[in-house]
Amino acid sequence: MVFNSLVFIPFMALVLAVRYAPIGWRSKKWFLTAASYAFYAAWNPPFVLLLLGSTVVDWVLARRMPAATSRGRRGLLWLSVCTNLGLLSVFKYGDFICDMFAQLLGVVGVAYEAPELGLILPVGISFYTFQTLSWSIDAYRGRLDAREVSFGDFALYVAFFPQLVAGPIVRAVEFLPQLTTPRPYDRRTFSWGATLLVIGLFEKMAIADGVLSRTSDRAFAAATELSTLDAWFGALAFGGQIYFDFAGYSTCAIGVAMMLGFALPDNFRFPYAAIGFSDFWRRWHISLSTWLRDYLYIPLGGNRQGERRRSVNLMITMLLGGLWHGAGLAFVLWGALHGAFLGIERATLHVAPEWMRGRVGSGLALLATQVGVLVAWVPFRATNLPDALHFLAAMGGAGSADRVLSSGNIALTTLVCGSIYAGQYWLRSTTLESLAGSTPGWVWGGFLGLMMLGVLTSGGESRAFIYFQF
Amino acid sequence: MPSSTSSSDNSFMRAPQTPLAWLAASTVFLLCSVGLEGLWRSRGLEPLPTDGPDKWVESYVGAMGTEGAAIVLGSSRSALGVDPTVLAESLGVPTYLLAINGANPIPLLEHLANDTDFRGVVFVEFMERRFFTAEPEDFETTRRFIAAASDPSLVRRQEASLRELFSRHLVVTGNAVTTVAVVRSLASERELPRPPPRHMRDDRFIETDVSQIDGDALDRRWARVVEEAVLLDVPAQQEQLEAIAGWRRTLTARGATVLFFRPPSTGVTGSVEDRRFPRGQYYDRAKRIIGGHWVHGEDDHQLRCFDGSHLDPRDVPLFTARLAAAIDDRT
Repeated sequence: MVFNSLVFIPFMALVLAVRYAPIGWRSKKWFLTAASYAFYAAWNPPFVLLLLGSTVVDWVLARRMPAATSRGRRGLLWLSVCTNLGLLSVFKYGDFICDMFAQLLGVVGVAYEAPELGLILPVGISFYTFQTLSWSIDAYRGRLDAREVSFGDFALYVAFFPQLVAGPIVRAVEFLPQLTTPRPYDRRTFSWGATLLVIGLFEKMAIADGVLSRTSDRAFAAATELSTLDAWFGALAFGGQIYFDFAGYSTCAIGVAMMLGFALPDNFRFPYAAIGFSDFWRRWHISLSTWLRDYLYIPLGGNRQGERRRSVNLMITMLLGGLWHGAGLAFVLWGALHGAFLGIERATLHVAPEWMRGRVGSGLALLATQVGVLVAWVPFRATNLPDALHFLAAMGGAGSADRVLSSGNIALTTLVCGSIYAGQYWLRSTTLESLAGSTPGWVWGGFLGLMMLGVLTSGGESRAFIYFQF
Repeated sequence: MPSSTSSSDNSFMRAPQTPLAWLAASTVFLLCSVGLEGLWRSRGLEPLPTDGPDKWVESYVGAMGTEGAAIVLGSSRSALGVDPTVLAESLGVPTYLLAINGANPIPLLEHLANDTDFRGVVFVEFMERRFFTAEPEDFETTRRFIAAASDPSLVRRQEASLRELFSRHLVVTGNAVTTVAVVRSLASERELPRPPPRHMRDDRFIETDVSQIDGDALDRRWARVVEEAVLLDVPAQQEQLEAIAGWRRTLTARGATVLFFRPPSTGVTGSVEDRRFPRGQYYDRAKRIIGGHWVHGEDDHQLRCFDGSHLDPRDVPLFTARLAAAIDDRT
């Protein structure tokens, strides 16, 4: 089930009715867990067993950690890590690993045809795997005592339907405390949650699917025969599409959670206003970037072991971050590009002349960041690595003379993406909440009503959220 | 760093009071949607079922669940050129139109042969630029529809029913009047959208009001598409035709009847097709390798196409009857 489906309306109505019914808090939590499993089962029923299995294993292992010896705790952690990453590897990377192995053998002259596993990728497995991993690692580090957490609460934390399939990636230490005491109905929170849900749906249905997907789909389908202009506009359209698709989903998720009385972490802070790549990663998919920082980059040594080691750690983190998104070399390239951008940024910070630290420098850094981000989106979206290279070559000036995009495509992309960049830059130092709070209610409501109309008139089939495939 | 986000864990603390906003939002939404619905209806637009995977799956499920049903596989040439109601009357069996606009029927033929136990009548549209190419997009579209039919989702049918409910009762939710469609119409035609010249019937046949269509412009466009079609090399063509022959044999051995038909083409499109795909080199070769029953739309009758590529609605019953007669003659 997805937020932009019609069946979500009766589902959410039922969940809200029970959530705010005069019954005990424990019963409500069990109901939310059951509803979350139903939400997941609606996609493909057998895969709830995988979710349940992962939940049981991690809950049991983490509860044994406090009483175990140091060596035993480490063993329990490794068991949890291997179980979670093992499942992820089989379902997500099985074919990729077999293929890479066959290619490796081919390099040394051994002909081997890898078997095609053809496994279905369970929706959301990358997200809930990272959530349960953070639980196990935090339990190992002593940041939480798993013995104080009931199985019901843990199961709800893992499966909580607003964030289950595409995040934000929630830490146990952030979410579990919200389950300890009943959370009464609060009109203001509920109403703001509903507002976020409308905004998220508008971003996804009206903008990402309704406008930008047409241009980016058309450009990337013709990756090998693009003109330079079309390539740039195709990349621009995809940059906008993926932002509104994913930020739209996150906004819906946070809104739905708020309507149910729970808080989820931020995931986006106007990333297309980022000045510098490190700034970009503080604004884009924040729950993933902070997860990678806390559970990968810092354990690797972070920036504590000199500049060279720092760059290596950064590159490893970004490469694995790319691979987290998908089993393919194009995703690795995306990660490598961002790793390289971050390394270059760090290196140039030391040698930048004084004038670069002023407004002109900021402007140039903003431009360089956004162009770099746009270029990196190409391998992320392309069907395969050769297509990505063709597309990048076209962006570099080696495009064909044929035009694939119509003037209408280009005009709409310019309008929407121009508004994204201008709007995000204008809002980069504020919040949506303060914007709403400082705008007259009837004006804000007018915009909200128009967004609802935009959702109603977006037409077509409901397209899956891009991040579901990760 | 200041938080500037569309969503926040601090929203609990700073969520603004919004009762007036919701009142205004509801008012604007209701007034605008009711107003738009009235505007579109006053311009002659009507609520219509929307073509797409949901509607296709409905027909597919019907066909698979009906013993001895007839099905039509193809692209828009079949969706506009083979009337399933006429075919059902002529054959005396329920008939389902499984044609998909802009898609290649080959993956569906393969699916029927290998993944189902279908044993009714299969009409397969033959077009040179689809049988002798491997346009990935055309194949992908068909595979997407097939995947939709085997989607294990528990709520797919309910979702489809709800969408159908909306599209049958509200013009404002239809594809003809999306925000983008309205903007496009205003930019290109300098006026609000008019009733579309094509509309889909419940049996997925697409009825066309040719008086609203610039047939010559479309003819030139289809001719360009045919001209630019990239063909497989000869060994790959042979391999593809042999694979199709294998699927035909599988279906026939199971008791199904398979008939390949080549819809007619006229005008510039027809000329380009005749030049690029000489009959002896393409149609006759496919017929020889694949085997089975074949009907060429340019034999016997002089059929008309309103845009060079799609049958004139006046000739649809004639062409459809010919397909039915071909089955009667050969079984």
